[in-house]
Amino acid sequence: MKMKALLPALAAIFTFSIIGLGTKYLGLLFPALSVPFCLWPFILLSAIESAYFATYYLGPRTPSLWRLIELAVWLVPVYLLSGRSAEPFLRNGFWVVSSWLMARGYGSQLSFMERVADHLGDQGAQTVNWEYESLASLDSDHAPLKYFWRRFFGYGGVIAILAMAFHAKIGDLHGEDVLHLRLLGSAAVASGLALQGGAYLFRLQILWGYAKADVHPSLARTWLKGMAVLLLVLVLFINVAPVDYWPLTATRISTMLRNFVVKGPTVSMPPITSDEKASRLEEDPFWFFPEDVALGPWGFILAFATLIVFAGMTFLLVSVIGLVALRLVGHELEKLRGLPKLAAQVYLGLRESLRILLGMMRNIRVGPRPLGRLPNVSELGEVTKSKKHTESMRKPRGVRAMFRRIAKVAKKKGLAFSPSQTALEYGKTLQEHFPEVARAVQEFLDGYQKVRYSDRELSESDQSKLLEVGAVIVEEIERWKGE
Amino acid sequence: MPQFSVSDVALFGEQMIRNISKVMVGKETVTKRLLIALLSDGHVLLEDVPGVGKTMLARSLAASCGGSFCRIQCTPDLLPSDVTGLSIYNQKQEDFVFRPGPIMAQIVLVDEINRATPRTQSSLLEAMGEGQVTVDGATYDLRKPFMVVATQNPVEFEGTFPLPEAQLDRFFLVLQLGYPTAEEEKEVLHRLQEEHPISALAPVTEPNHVAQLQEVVARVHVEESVRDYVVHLVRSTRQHPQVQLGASPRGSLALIRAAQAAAALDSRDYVVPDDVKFMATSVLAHRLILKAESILRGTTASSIIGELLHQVDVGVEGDL
Repeated sequence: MKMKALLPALAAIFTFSIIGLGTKYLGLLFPALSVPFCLWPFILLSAIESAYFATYYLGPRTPSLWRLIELAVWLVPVYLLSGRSAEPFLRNGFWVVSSWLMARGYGSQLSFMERVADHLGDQGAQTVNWEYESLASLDSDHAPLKYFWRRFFGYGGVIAILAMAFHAKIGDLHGEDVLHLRLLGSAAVASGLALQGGAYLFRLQILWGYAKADVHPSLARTWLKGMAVLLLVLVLFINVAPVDYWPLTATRISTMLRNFVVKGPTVSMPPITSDEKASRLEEDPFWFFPEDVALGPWGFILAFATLIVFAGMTFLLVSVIGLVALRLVGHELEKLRGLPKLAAQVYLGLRESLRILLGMMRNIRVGPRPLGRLPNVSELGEVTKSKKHTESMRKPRGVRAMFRRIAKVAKKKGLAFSPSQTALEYGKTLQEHFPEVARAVQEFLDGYQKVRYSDRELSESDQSKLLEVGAVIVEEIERWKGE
Repeated sequence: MPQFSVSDVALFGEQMIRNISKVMVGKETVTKRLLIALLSDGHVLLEDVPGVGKTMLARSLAASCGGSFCRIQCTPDLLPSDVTGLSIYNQKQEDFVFRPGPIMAQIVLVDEINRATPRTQSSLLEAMGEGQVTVDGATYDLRKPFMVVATQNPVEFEGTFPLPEAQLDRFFLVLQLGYPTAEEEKEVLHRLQEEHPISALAPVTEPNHVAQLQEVVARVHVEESVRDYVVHLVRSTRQHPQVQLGASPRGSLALIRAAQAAAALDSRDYVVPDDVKFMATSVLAHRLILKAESILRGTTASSIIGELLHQVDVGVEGDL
């Protein structure tokens, strides 16, 4: 897995955990600020969307209108869920926007790390010294790694202050609140450390790429595996180890603080009774959900459905704008600017995704399973052998699937397909190794190219003929014993 | 008007190559690339040592096309008006009359282009880029097909003016002919013993047909993954550590168009990545500016394009 694809997910989880902890503690401290359960998926999803969007697309030229649309996608369902009244909407909207902004910061930073590499890449990436300096990030302009550390400690500090305030004011917790805080805390620590470590590896990968360093491809996987084990041990240690790891326990610290606070000036806040705690959600009338539903799993499902419907409608509207804009400029994307250009790109992306999806559906192999009696033990060896043979001879549906099958079978014989090769170049390699089927390879590739690159489809008979030719090639490759 | 198809383009290519081969021995690949430039409405710079047949190739192309042909022999005292034409006062009519220059022909051979001054070289820019010429405030459209075939000698630099980057980028292709093999050279001696075959070269098509074939080429289908491949290839030239300035978006456009023409010449109405690979070096190499240290190390733009062709993912079937 590419680090760039993983890091926004970690950033989103970290953001969600921090916001979740913040809202939880604030809700416990001041019940009026508590967040309904149905808002949590919004906080998580807005963080995911924002982190990925910022990592892969957001740039200085992204139109401001697009950002407003993006915010509206999140805020309109929140407004509906807040009973269309200003106060709960402002409170709930604040958390969703905070999550969106926080994740956006991480995404932008990841994207910035690549841009810095673009800028510096040519200037002698081969020198180890430069690499070291870049990693050390001494120059504030090129210090993306510090960003992660600062925020990790900064957010951690804020949560610690809230936790201490809670312990100082209220004391111990019981029931599901403890579970929630423990889960969120563990997620925050694990994702925060993983994000930092991942960002460091990502930075190294960029530099190695420019320095053309020979790095083993499994390094990232090994790195991630090692880090996952470490974090798991850490989380387990914190949560389940029967160790009184004094003086690090929050209870001990809060006891000390409580003593300190009791002796110092007191804050006149009314104590919370259990009735008040239980009824705090009743104070927030929901227009959309019944109160009992908002707290349960149905609340989650309804909130999610609202978001999907609203985001889908926005996506559809943007796609229609894109289609119209493209039609107006005669499908010349270069003539568009700002939001119409982005809308056109969304439309083109949607069209391409649908095309790929349909292509994949066409190429899906649906092998009919023969019905019959189960083999007995004595027949098992023979049946297994014949099954293997049948599988190897089974025709993949579609010419493109057959090409993939040929490449897969040839790879097992040491003739792997290189990504920089064209189908014809690969065909030449096959022709050199299997002169008996050289004509068949040429015939198959001619047909394959039509299927792959032409805008017309082959007839059923031509396709089945090509599949037969492909099967002959597969058989010949499988028979090959090597040189 | 007859409707042309890619098979007509392929037939045109075969006839042209056969015809030009009567004059040029063993230069079928270069001729094919030249035809690709013609079908793509582009201009070609032939860069090679003297005496390998650059001028003859251009002349035989013009003769085979049947269009009007003019030759401009560049020297340092050549003026822009010698290229574009000028208005002279006609005493009889008591008015200025425009006298067209050699650029008004359909196939223009600009011989030893780097011997002309930058001012004269730039007078070619508008003609090559826009297909029109402006003289004394009046704009004259050039007849289609219009093609500039320029030549230059890459080893002699004294008294020359290297082409500005803007003009170099306007050349669709830069081609090298190379020396013929011993067999080919023997054949050349044999053919040219009595009469030069260029004088007997008959046209195999009409200029109007070439213009229509250009429209057929523009309609050749380019699949999305091929377009992606071209973009990745061109972008990778910009990120290469040994390249100071990579290929421009004009390079991407030229590469797509060249691949379309190459596909049509192979009687295909769709482009395959092999077409892109076939044309990449000729289309992109002259658009790169290498770093000084890379040039000192003996790296060439062609070798960088070759290296990138072995690195950039073609995207045939994703991860196989």
